[in-house]
Amino acid sequence: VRRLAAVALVVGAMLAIRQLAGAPSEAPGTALALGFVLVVALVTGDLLRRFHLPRLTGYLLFGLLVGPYLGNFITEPMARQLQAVNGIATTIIAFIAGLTLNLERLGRRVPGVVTMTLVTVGVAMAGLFAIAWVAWPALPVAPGAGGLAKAIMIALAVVVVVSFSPTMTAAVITETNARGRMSDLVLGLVVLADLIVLVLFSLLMQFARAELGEGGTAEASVLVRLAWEIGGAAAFGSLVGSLFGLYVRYVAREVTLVLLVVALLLSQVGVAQQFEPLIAAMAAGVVIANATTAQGDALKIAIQGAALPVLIVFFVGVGASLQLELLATAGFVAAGLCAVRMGLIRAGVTIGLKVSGTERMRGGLIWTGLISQAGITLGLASALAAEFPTWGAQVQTLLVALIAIDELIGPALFRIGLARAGEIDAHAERSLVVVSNREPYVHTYAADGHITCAPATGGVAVALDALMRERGGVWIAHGAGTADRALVDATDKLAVPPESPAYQLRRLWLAHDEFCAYYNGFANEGLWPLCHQVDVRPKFRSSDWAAYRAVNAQFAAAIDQELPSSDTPVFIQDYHLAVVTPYLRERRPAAATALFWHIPWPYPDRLRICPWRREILAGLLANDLLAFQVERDLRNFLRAVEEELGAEVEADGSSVRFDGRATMAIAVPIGVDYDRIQAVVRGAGLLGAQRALADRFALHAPIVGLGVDRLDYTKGIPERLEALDRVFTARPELRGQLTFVQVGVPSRSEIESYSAIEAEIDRMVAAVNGRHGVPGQPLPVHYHKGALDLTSLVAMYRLARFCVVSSLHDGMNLVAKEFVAARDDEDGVLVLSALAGAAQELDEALIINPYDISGFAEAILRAVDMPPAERRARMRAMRRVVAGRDVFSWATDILEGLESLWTRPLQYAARAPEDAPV
Amino acid sequence: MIPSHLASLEDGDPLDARLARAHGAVPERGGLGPALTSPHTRTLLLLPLGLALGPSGMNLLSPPVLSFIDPLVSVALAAIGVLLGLALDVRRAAATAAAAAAAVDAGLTVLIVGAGALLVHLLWLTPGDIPWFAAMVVAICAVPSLSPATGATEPHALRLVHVGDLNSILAILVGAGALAGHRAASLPDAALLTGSGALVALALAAAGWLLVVHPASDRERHAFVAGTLLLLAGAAAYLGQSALLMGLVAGVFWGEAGGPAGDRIARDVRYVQHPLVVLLLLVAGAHLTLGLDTLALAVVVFLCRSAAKLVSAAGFDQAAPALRGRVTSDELLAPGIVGLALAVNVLQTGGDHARVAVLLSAVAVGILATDLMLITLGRQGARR
Repeated sequence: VRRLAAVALVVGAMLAIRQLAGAPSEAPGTALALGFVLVVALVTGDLLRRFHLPRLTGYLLFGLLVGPYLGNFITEPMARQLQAVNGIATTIIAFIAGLTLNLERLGRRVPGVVTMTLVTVGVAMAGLFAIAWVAWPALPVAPGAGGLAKAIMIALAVVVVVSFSPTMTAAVITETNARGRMSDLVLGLVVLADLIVLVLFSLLMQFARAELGEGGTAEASVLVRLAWEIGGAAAFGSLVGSLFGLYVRYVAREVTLVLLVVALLLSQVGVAQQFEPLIAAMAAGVVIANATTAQGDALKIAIQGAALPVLIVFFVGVGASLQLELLATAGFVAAGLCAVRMGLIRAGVTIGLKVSGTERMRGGLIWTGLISQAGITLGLASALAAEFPTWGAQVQTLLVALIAIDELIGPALFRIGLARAGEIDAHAERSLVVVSNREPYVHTYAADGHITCAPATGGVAVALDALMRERGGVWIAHGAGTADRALVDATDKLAVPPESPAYQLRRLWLAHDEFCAYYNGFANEGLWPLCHQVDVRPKFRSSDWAAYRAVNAQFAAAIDQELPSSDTPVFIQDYHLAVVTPYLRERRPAAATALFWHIPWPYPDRLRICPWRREILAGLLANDLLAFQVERDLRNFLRAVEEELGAEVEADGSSVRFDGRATMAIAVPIGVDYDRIQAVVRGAGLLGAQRALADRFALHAPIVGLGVDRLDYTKGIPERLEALDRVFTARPELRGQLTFVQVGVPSRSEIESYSAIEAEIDRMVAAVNGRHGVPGQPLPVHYHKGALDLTSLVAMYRLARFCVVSSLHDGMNLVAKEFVAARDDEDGVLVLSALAGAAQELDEALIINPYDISGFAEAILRAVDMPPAERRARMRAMRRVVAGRDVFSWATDILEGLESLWTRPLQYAARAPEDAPV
Repeated sequence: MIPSHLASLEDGDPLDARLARAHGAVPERGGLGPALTSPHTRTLLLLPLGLALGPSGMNLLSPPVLSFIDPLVSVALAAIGVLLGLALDVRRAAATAAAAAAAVDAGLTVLIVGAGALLVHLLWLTPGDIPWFAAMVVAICAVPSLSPATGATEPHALRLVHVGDLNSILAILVGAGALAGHRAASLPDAALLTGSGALVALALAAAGWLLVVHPASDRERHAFVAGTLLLLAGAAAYLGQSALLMGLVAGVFWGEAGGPAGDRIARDVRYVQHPLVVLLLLVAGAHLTLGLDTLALAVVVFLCRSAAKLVSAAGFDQAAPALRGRVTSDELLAPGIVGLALAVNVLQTGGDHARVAVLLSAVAVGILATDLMLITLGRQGARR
């Protein structure tokens, strides 16, 4: 209803605008027409999707309805102005298609594709020629013609009839976000086939001119012209692509504008020079994608993300240009021709598949991508009519009617084919199974006996919850709340979120002793210190390992119960569940699983401390996709699997082969829930929260520093306090002028190493305050032991002049990113440990080595003294990084990686300095 | 460069950011990169670059190309209007010292620049040019770069932002009135035309709000926001009205309508504002005509505007005690893009092209001269 009301408003506004402007208006209408098309076509497409019709059919129909031939809502002048925009859209679509063509991947299949194309085109042309020869007297072309003239006419018409539409093919692939062998094959096939068609058409035209008495140029000149059109276009496109690639690599500024200029160049300059713009644009895309891999990937992702408006404009433009009146005159013959063409193409593909010996799997659907026809066919038909006005015009009429039919059914048919081949993003709608130790909603009994529900507040949990709300499915986790059992059904499930249930939470019950051994023991006394390079000895007990395996097996059994089908993605979280997948594979060998390892991965020598490292490595390699925070961890992991398991690591480090299966390994840095933090920043309660905190923590000092950590020995809190001690010693005038707020959230206190660090921090805070505190002045260190809610946390971030993250070793550290996200005032300095993963992304922080106390203290003093302009410049640069990569894109990237395993792994990783510790 | 209230939102080119995150894709930038990222030097770089690429230079931005990209320029203008409208807190702005300060600054600037320009007018323009002349004066008087270096959380900084908001909005309103006056036969007709345009903008804004409040996906939301921006810009172009005003009306609507739609639209518009602004500067540069009359007018603009701003800075102490001693003259002097945008808008909506191009050139040269002066005086550090 909301959308229909919006459309009604837009239509009303359009009518009012036309009324106000006075009709007929030649006023500039491009932007207006584009806006109208975008908004209304999108709603129309979405509406049709509810009736199980493809969106792009909706766009086409919308174009048809509002175009000059029917509704005339887009007036003739507007349509003319839109034509130029459509040229750019076509170029961008071809450019995107080029970006998706991986020559390395296609390379092995080129001979097969060539054979298939030749056979398909050959069969279709031969079949059509034979049928046309027989049916010639009945066709409304030149019934009286015979002999060689008849053969030439038929041959020319057949070549045009068989031609395809690479633009439409690329547009459908882009619109559906299709990825797979069929998409690649069809795109390669139509491009190649149309090159063959262009060559054949030119040669036949030359022959026809001579034989049909209209004269012509020498054959050599035709070939030269063809070479110029095709070869020149490819060369021009390659040149433009190379220059663009160099620009992206070495300048990388204003890329959007430069991309538009490139599109303009390819579409306008190319046409002016008689280049085939489609080939030029595709060549440019291919060069960038294959010569500059990282830029090509990033550019493809970025452009595809914004491609929807381009596609809508393209499809609506196609719909608006359909000449329906021709269907009335030549509709029946065209429909028959369409059916024959379709049948012959299908036969050609079937034979081609057999002859080429490739792509047997789902190859039967390839023909669906070869039905669309558009610009090239229209161009050839026009050339025919212009050259041979008598019979050529008749053929043109028939062909335009044929194009109208093929444009309407071709894209829809191809979409169906892609869907059946499992290559379109219908999987984005598919449900998901998330597995984690901690549950997203914990139910506990309050003191008065009521049940309260607490949602998890961590960034990862919030992101995964949002993802699950969108996609639905099951989240499997350990039920740790006191009231958790009271709310589940007989299958241990309940619908969450409580306010608007969107997915199922399956709770797993673990015996107390077993949980202690699995979680506190193996996971947190063994794996955690193993993976973090700190002076705490990992403790590995065989009883803990047994419990760990048993719990992982229970999780695997639960996944098996909840997994609706093996292609439903399973997203496993963290080091608690390293060996879930082998157990799952025993039950579901084909399950699609991804595991994200949130903490660092140790270097191979340290890994050898773990007696069961090989089982853990093999367990992780049972996943289809394995993701780490940063390249450093990925590198360590790859070295470990090579050394410990003798696994085969691909040269580019993207894939590991072990035990007969391949695992994609990638680095995908996690982000924060940026939008949520922005909402708090803009919320009405923030100023109040800041005031409340200032009162509560007695923050009267003009300079406030901040540290927010779990009380964990990996966080470097004692080192931080030591550095602060050094600061106050070196600059006594800061006493009373600087208060450092340390927020420490107690964690895993039942483990000895954790209780020890808590005690040490208590002692050190007291010592610093005792040494540097001035009576009546603000404390040097204010220690708040306990968690803060999100609003208070953001308020605290905003009160701080600087924030310190001094981890001795950390996978990522989201506090660093949260601090940056909270500072939309672009003020504040981040002092960040080089040993935290975040340091590989946030270059503009003051990077410290927490073991170098003098350097650490100097960095704090630099943060205190930093001029506002420098603070602003640094914060601004960091905000770009943090805003651009939030926790939702992190989750989406991993799932997309899992769902497109056949593709080259996406390279999202942050930079990993060569001297980064391993 | 960008108005103060937009400055903190200027996130750069969206593709740049994406590419920068690609693994090892983008090395440390040298050469042209830093110059393009600095808002301060961008005007100095892009306006002359536009001139060099335009019809007076290499003619790469030839008249047909400029005509082809004209819809995008309208979108850029609408986007600036939208962001201004979204940044404006209608209910609180009037209650702050900002209103008084803005009035002082705008009043003094209009008065002094107007007096100076009147001299030129008497010598150079004909009575039919008066609406254009008025638009130019207002464009010159836009004060959009009041962004203090001390951070926008401090109260005086927030007030400065409000001053910038109000002055830019004043410029847009008067400029839109001038445009309508040029098209309409009488004053009531002009008011009716402007009112009708504003109503259309409101209807489109309401449609956009309905579409964006619960989008099915980010991709869809981006498309709806792009569509709405195009509609606003297209409506303005089709009706020959101010795209800045259309955008402003929509922005105020979205800001006041509440809910997440405003934030989402702001985020998406911000996402495209940077390339649009660069385009606007290049197009403005391409339209520049450098002649004696342009330079004469530019000198008047530069001198009068600088003098006006210096007087305004002194006047602030009286008009806005909360800002006493905290506003320096270079904060007021710093030129911004709203003036240029308004001049481009005037150029777009027709009229005597040659005359309007002279007006635009005078504004642009005045801006360049002010930027150069600020650099020469070494005061850019005090600016944004």
